[in-house]
Amino acid sequence: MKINIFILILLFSLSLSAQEVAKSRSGNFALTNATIETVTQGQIQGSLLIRKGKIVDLGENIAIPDDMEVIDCKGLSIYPGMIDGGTQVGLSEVGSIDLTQDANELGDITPHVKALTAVNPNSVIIPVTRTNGVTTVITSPTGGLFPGTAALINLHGYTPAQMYAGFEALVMNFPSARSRGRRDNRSEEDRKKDMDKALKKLNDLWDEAELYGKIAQAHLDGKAASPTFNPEMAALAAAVQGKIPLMIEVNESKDIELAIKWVTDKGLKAIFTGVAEGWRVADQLAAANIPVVTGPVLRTPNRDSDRYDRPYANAGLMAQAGVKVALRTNETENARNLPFNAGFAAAYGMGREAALRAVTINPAEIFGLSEQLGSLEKGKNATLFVCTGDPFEPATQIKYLFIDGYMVPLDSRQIRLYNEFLEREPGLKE
Amino acid sequence: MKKYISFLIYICLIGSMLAQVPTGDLLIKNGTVLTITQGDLQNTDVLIRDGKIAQIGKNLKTPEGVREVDATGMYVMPGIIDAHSHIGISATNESTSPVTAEVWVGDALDPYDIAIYRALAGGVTTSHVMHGSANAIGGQCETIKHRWGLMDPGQMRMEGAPRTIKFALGENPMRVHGIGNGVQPRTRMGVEALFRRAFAEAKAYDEAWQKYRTSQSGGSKTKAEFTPAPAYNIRLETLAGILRGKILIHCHSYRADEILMLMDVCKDFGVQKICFQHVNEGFKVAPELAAFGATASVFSDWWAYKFEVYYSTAYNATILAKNGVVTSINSDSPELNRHLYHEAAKTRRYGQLSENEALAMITLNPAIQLGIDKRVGSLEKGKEADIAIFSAHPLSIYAVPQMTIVDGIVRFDVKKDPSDMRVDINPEEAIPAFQESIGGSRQSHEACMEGVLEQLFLLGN
Amino acid sequence: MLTKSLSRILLVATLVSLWLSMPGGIFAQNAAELAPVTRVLAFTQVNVITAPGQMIEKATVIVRDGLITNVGKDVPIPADARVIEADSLFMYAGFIEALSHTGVPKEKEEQNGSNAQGNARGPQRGPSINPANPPNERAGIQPDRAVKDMLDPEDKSIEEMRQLGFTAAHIVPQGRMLPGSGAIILLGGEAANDMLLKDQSAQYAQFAGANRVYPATVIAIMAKFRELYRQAELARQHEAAYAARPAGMQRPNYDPVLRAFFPVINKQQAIFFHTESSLDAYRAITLQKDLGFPLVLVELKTAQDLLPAIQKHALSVCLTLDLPKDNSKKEIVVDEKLEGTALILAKENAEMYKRQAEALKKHEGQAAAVAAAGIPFSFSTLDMKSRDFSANLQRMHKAGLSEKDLLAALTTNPAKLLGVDAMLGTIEKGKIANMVVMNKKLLEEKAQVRYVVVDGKLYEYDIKERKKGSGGSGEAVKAAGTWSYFANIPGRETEGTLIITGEPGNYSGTISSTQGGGSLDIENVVMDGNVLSFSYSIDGGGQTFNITVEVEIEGDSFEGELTAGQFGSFPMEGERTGKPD
Repeated sequence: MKINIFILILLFSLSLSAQEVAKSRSGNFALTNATIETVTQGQIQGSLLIRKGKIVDLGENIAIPDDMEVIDCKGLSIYPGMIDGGTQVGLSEVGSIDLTQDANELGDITPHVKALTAVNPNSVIIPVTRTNGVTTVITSPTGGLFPGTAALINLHGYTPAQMYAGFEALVMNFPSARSRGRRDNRSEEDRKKDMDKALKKLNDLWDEAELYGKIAQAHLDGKAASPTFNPEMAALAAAVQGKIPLMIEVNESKDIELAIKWVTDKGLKAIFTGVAEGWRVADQLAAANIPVVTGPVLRTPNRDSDRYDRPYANAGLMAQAGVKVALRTNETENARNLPFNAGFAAAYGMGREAALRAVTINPAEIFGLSEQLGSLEKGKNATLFVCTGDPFEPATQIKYLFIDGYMVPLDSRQIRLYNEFLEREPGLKE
Repeated sequence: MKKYISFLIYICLIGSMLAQVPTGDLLIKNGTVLTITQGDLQNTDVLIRDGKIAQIGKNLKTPEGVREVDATGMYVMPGIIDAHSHIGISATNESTSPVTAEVWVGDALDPYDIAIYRALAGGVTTSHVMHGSANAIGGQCETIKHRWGLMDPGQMRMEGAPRTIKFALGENPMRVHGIGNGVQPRTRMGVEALFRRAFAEAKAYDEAWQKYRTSQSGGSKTKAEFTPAPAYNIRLETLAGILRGKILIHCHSYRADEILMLMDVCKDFGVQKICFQHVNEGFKVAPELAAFGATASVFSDWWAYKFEVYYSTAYNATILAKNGVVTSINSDSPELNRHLYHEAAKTRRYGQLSENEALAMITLNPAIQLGIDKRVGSLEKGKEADIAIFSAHPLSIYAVPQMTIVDGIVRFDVKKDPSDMRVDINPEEAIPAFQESIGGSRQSHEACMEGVLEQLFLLGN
Repeated sequence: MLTKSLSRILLVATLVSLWLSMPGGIFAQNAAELAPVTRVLAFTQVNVITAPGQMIEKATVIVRDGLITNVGKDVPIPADARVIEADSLFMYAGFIEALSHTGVPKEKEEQNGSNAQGNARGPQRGPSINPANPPNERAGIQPDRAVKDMLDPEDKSIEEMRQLGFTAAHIVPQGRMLPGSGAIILLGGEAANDMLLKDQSAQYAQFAGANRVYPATVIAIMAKFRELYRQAELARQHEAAYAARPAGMQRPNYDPVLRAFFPVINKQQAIFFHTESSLDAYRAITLQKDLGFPLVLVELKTAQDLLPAIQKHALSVCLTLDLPKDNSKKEIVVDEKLEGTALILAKENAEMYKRQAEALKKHEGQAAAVAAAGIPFSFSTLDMKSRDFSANLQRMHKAGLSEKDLLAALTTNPAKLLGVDAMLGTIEKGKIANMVVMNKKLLEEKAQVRYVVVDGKLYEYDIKERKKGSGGSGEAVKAAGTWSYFANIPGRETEGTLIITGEPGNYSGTISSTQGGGSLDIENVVMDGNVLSFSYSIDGGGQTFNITVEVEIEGDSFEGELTAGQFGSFPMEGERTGKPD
């Protein structure tokens, strides 16, 4: 029996008023008559079927199984959920209140702390973010040289484990020779010296971790006693041995060049993040085959002499040089602006198609999840949204949102405040 | 004696004493003209003479010697007005006192700030450059035009624009003075008490001077009748200007309760014009704002960077507008001001305002709030020729500003835009240092608190 | 004369008592000064540049009792004269600093800030003073101070400027917004009063905010200035009225700060405004237009931007004698083999190097541009490092400034600006005997000062080869040893020990302070001629501050500067207390 969607909505809204709470629900859904932006396989006019959390079929003329709830998407478009390659969503709630900040642990070298541990599934920020079509984000620790381990999470779920989307990376803030801002009074020479020192410290640390890894392996092989408990070294050793990828934050062009050399010398698989001046060294990034998560696009230029639109154009310039580029907002409460960041990149040289890839299939590939995420294909996770048009256009409205097959209500505290206060009762009356 | 008495008038004259600003002629041909006040006009020309809009119509004749700009397929809109900015000044906060009405950022204009050019490249022609929000009563602000390339700071002023002053409620003044310096106010109660004290003192000051002036003007003035003038106080003098309606209040505010509080204080002292800035919880008291006649200048979507903005909604602008509050969208950031057209477009997503309603929020409405709506903010004959031309509809994410015109002079042209637009070059450094970008609310909202840490805690030690 | 010799006797007595109480004999080297055989000088066969652009060759100049008594070709030489055979030397009128701090030591800054112990998170305790209403000395509002009370005749800067040829200076106190009134002094004399030519010469003002108290920023300084000035105008009227008819009238308050403005309001004094940047200059001009006081813009660096305003408002100007370091690239070649982004970037960089070179030219060409606009100017020396003096003159000359205009800016123009052109600025009969004698013409290569005469008193200088950069030639100056140093950082006077070990070319060392903090390694220790430079960094609670030091070693003492990035440069001196082990 096909369930009429209108009755369903009616039932749904009734149950909403009864419970006063909108809940996600799983089910089998048929999204019909839609414009399907697959990202990887062009545009399809037709239907998309969701069962057990997966896209089980999509196409122009496919049969709609009887047990599916039909959602008529006439005039609407379906897009894969957008992926933000770098945020602090779930780790930070109110910017100025320290006790709501869980992204920055004390210490310069804390690779063993894990973002996933501290993700608050009930952060008010999460529904605000996903109602703009951002379904999946990297949430990342910040701070010292090795601030911890970042995780890819879906913006849905009641425990961090439920939210975990299958990718973790060790975060590293690459040492920098650049000025630390207005109060940095070091000369260029001084900065270079400090950089050399920092690099030496990094390499020494890396060697130690390698040694630790060897001893740990020898222990496993029964050839040595267990190494002293050293969670920092254990976490670093995993990266040395390539068991966990590195996400290396690096921004200034000279720093990027040094980071490329460092990664190449060590033979590491790494993802560069930030990469604000990637446009200056795009060819080298491409030659080294290092994928990049860059952003925010909406930011000020880094040098007074830079052309005003360099930040907008950076992603496109790197993509044109052959770098695999994903985007990030580097935001917390406004990761919801990911589609607009992508739109600006598109307008300033990247083109719409490449920009769309940079928030869908590219991050999925960079994070090794191209079988599950990033495009609308048979067998992939049903993490997607339905909207009235181009999701980069501000005027576009999001109509439905699915994460892992769950139909997630398009509700957030911001929307509830709108509904309550648009026509306030009482108004001006005493 | 008159010389001192007419200090107020005299301050107003400063603008006109400065060097004249250059104006230009131009004919913008065949664009889609978004007038704001008179609808959208297809295939229409805009003729500019001497920096003013001389004519809007189809197939206008090109006067001799006037440069033509082909806007076929492009969108021509009024220059964008940012009602809250801190660009183009050397000092933002005098955070040593909770009341600093006497200071004036117009004294510290910096026409060499590259942020001015970058704002132009986002179609912004006018900025309301404000004192910071460290103090409950901060300093006076300045409305500037983005005349990039002129070296005299006086030429940045929008001559004749009304005087405005920055007030601030809530966490910032509480943090800086109550918590930081151990002086009142440390609470929102204290902030109200401070306003009432300041206004009451200003009123007494003004009365004393009125009385003195009257005594001086009546009868013959001989030496025997010399009466010493009341103590001159530039701070109270300025505050008296607010009470007389000569200076408009622009108040940094977030929470509903404090917004109501300031309206009550203003009512009690007869102050009628007030624009609430940021006003993240304005939506909660929109009917009260509308009834008072207060206006609102908001962020499109910033929230959660501190506790008093945690209960915010991106639908704020829509709710305010639908409740009859004149609402603008501002930047408070050298980043946001580069794409205010995009910030305005977000009202299309959050509340589905019409295109014209959205555009008014960055043109006519801020002009009303700054008291310059008779001169700028829409494309009408006789208004000043501050114009932005876009490749697509400015509310589209794909729109790229093509040309920005101030007083009829092209100050930004995407086709003639070399990388390095600095006008002030450091002779000891060829390539400027890499600086951290500003992006996102958590970094940017500190613009309001620029210089505060340095002044209070760090400098000198 | 009587009082003068009396004061000299007193001075001798003081010195003697000092000498008696001291273990060593400082007395001997001053013997010549104590008993001048004659106060008459005769320079013979000297080429006298009597005024800019005017020269008498092979002339005789007679100085008697501090005055020039004769200048000319056939001048008889008095029998009681000390004759100085100055054949082939060049004599100029002594140079005048139009504004400086010469002879005025930097003062200690008060430390009782509201949050002296605070941190960026904000302390919880109340302030010891209210930052909104600080005492005047903390606010830097001290126009009632007079620089003559601060003048220290022993201050090293006096000799430093004198040996460059400066013989008179318009000095002002150090400080912040309104440091005090200035004085015109002669750069020689045993006691401050001996040196004083004119007291209460001007008011000095700066856009220098107070430290964490009101007025901290330029906007508050502007407001405060307007308020003070208007209050002073009212106070002056009140005082005048009260003086005329006190009966029945409220007594005026005695406010020394406001009273200090009275001479300015009466247009008897100008305000010399420190305005390095064009923006500062515009701000000072705004105040001048608001309030109507006589204004002199001081220490201008790029007055080209201001020429219309200067001419329109008929302002007096003092240009800086400081110039930016020249680290520009002389030749920029773009490698045309590059392609893509690399080529674009190379071109962009080349353009920026070009713009930097132009900016440098603008600084060097300031004086020439102002001269070309027909605006008379003087030189202020607030920022100039004395060792850069002659090089900077050369650079300005190369950028188009004529020798005549340059000389006028060092002599006649400042004399006129300061209202002392009847006494100073030229070599004429009747003027004060202030002159400088050089081995070559001022702008010639290797021109050096041989004699300086201040107030009729002769100072003689040996011609010395500049040691910096002289490489291996001559006796190498050694840096190694233990040094005690003193760094004059306002509010943070620092003393301590500097230990340098190693050999030329391979120095290293440590530095420590009596204020604690342990001993820090110094880096980049380089000796170039007699110039020692090194750097070190201080960890200031998570922030690293890098300090660079550059000092000139003379025997067992050094003098120079410590630079702490944007916080500025501060004088530093030291004595060698121990030889290397």
